[in-house]
Amino acid sequence: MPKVLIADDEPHIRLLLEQTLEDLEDEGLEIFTAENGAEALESIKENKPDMVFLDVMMPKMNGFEVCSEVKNNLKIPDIYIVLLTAKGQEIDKLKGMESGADMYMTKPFNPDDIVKKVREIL
Amino acid sequence: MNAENNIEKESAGISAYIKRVLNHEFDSLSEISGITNSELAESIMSLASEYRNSLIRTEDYVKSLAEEKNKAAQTQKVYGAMLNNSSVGITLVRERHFVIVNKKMAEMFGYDSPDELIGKLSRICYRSDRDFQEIGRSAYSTVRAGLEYKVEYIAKRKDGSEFWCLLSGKSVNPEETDNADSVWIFQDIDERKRQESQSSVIISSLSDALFVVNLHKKISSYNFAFLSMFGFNEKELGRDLSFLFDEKINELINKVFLNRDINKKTIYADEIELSGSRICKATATSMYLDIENSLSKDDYAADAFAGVVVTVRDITKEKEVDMMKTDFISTVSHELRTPLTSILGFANIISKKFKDSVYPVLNLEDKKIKKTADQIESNLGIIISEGQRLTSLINDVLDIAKMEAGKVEWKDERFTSMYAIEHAVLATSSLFQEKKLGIVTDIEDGLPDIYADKDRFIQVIINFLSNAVKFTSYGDITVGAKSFRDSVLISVLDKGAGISKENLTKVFEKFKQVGDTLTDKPKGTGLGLPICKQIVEHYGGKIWAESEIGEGSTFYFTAPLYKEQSSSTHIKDFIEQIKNSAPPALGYGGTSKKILIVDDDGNIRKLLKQELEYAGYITDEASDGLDALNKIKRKKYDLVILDVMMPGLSGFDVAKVLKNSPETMNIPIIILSVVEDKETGFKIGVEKYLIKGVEYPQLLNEVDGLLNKRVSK
Repeated sequence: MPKVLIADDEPHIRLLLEQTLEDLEDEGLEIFTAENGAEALESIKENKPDMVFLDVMMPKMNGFEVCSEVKNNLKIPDIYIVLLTAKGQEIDKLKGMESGADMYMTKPFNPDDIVKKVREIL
Repeated sequence: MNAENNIEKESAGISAYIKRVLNHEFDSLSEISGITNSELAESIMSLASEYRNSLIRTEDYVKSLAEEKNKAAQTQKVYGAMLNNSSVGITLVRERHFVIVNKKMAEMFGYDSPDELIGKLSRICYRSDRDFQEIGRSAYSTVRAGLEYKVEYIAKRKDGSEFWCLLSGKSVNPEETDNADSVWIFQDIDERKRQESQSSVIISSLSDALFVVNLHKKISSYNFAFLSMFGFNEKELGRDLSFLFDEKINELINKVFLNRDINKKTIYADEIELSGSRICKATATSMYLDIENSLSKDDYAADAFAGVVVTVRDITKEKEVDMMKTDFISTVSHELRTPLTSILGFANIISKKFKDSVYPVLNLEDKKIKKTADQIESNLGIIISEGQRLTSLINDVLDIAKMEAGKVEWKDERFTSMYAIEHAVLATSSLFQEKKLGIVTDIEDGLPDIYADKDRFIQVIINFLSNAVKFTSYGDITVGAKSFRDSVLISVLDKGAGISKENLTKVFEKFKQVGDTLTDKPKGTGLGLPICKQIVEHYGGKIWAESEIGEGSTFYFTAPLYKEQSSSTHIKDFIEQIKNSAPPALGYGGTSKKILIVDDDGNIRKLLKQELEYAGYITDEASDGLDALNKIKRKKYDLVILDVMMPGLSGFDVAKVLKNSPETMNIPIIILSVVEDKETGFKIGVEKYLIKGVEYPQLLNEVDGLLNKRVSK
C-alpha cells in the first residue's frame, strides 16, 4: 500500500491536495495529513510514508527542518520529499536542495503535475 | 730631525777642531794626524752639502706643515659653517655641560649667541628637575652602551616658553671610558606635534572605530570609538593582534600586508560580528609615508609602506532593515500565493469533476440545462485563466519589487548572444506556432561574449519576442545581434501594428499598456517591459524602441560584454564556462532528465545524442526494440525517442509494450521516423509523432515541452 503524507498548515491546501489525489486514493493510495512540522515528523516516524509533500512555512518546525531531519538524522532514505512553497526565491530553492529534498515545487501548482509525480514515484 | 742633529754634531765637531787649531794645540801641521788641507776641505765640503740637503728637507717639511695647517684651517672653517648653518641644534656635551653649541641651538632656545649656553649645565633646556633627571638617566645609560638615544620631550627656552623637541644623541667614543663626551641634536617638532594632535582630534571624534597597525604588527594608534566598540582596555593594546581580534580582522590585516606591493590602492573589507550580536563592517587599507618624504620617485614605493589602517563601522541597523526588506518580499509572496493556490487548485478540480462526472450524466437535450452546463464550464475556465493571470502578475510585481530593492541575486556568467537568442526562441516557439508566425535570426559573426545573469538576459529577449507575437498578425519576426559601439546590440523586429510616437517611451513605464483601454483588453501584466528595463539598466545598458504606426516596431537593448579580469575571477569564470558548456536542462530541482534514443542507425543516434546532450539532457542509446526494452527495465528514463523501422521489434511494438505496462505508461514517447503513420502512433498512445528531418530546435522544444509542461511567460 503506497502511502503519502501531506503536511501544510493551511487547511485549504491540505484539502486541495487530498482532492487532487482522490483518484489515486481509489486506486489504493493511503493519504495522511499533518498540520505542522512536529506532527509531520511524528507521522513520518509512525506511518512511514513513501512520499511526503511538505509545506515550507509551517509552525513548530518548518519544511526545511523536517526534511533535513528525515534525510540526515533519521536516515529514512527511501522517502521522496517534495517541498512546497509560495516563496519562489533562488535562495530558497538552494536551501531546499541542501536540506535534502528530492523536489521543490512552487505554489500555485498544477494539480495534474502533482498527480503525475505521485504516479511516477509510487 | 736626525739630519739636523747630525749637522749640529758635525758642525760642533768642526768648530771644536778649528778652535783647537787656532789655539795652537797642534804644534805642527803634521801633528794634525793625517789631515791635509785637501782632506779638511773635502770633509767640510761633504758636511756642507749634507747640511744643505737637510736644510732643503727642513724647508719642505715646514712647507707641508704649513699646508696641513691651512687645510686644517679650511676644514675647520667648513665644519664651523656646517655647524652654524645647520637647521638643527648640535651640541657637544661633557658631564652634562655644553662644550660646543651651534647657532641653531642658541636660536631654538631663544639665546642671543651660543656663548650663552657654553659651559652651562644642560638643565636649562628642560622645564623641570624631574624631566632633566629622568631623561638624563635613560639617555646616558643608552649612549654609554654605544647606542643612539632618542626622545620627544617638552623643552624650555630662555624666556620660559615651552615647545616640543626631538632630542637624539650618541656617545663620541664609547670605548674610551674616560672620555664621556657625547653629541646631542635638538629638533623643534612643535609644528608637527600640533598637526598630529589636530588629526588625532579628528580621528578621536570619529564615530567609527579606527586603529593603525604598524610594521611590527602592533597597534600604534587608535581612537576612542575603537576602545568602546571593542571594549578594550588601553593597557591591553600592546598585545599580539591574534589575542585581540578574531580570525576575520586578522585576515584582513594580513591581506593588506601581503599585497602591499601589488595592490596599493586596494581596500579590503569584510563583515564581522562583535559581542552582543552586533554586525560591523571592517575595512583595511595600506598606509604609505608622505610622498614628499619618501626616497623613491614611485608614487607608492614599497619601502614607504608604513602599516595598515583599519576602520570598523557598526551596520547592525542597516542589516536589520535589509532583512526586513527580504522578509517583506518573502512574506508578501507567500501571503498572496497561498489563497491563489486554493482558488486555482479548487477551480481545476471542480472543472475536472464537472467534465468527468457531472456533464456526462446531464440531460443535454434540455436546452436550458445544456446552456447552464456550458456556462458553468466556461465560467470555470475564466476563473482558472484569471487565476493564472493573477499568478503572473504577482510574480512580475514581486520581480520588480525585488529588483528595485536590490534583492535580486544576479548570477553573472559568460555566454554568447547566439546561445541567449536560441534559448529565447526555443522558449517562445509555441507562441509563434499558435499564430503561425515565422522567426528569423540575424546574428553577426565574431561577436564578443556577454557577461550577465543568463536567465535574466534571456528573459528580456523572451519578453521582446512575446510582445512582437502579441502585436503581429502575420509575417516574420526577426531577432538580431550585432556589434554596436563597445557592446552588443540585440534587436527584435516585427511587422505588426506599430506604436505611436507618444507611446514609444511610455511602453517602458510600469502598468502602462498600449492600446485603447476600452476596446483592446490588456493582456499580460504591464510589467514585462519595465522589468526588462531594470535588467538592462542594471548592467549599464540602454533599452529603447523604434516604430511607425502600421509599419511595425523594433525593440533594442545593449548587452554587457565579457571583460578580462584578474586571476582570482578567472578561475570563477573558468568554472562558469565549464558549467556553461553543458547548460542544465530545464527541469524541477535542477536534476537532468534522462532520455533513451532508440534507432538502428548509429549516425542518427550519434546526432541526436549530441543535440540532446548539448541541451543538457543525459542520454542513452539502444540499437533495436529488444535492447530498448531491456534498458528501460533496468533504468528509469524520463523520455524515449523511438524510431519505427527497426529489425526485430518495430518502434510501434516497443511503444505498445511501454504504454500497456503501468511502470512505463507514463514515460512520454516521441516517435521520430521516416514513416508517416501518425494514426497508428496516436492509437497506441504516443505523445508526439515527428518525421525525420525535423529541425533540431523544434525537436528540442517538443522534448522540453513533454518533460516540463511549462509554457513560456
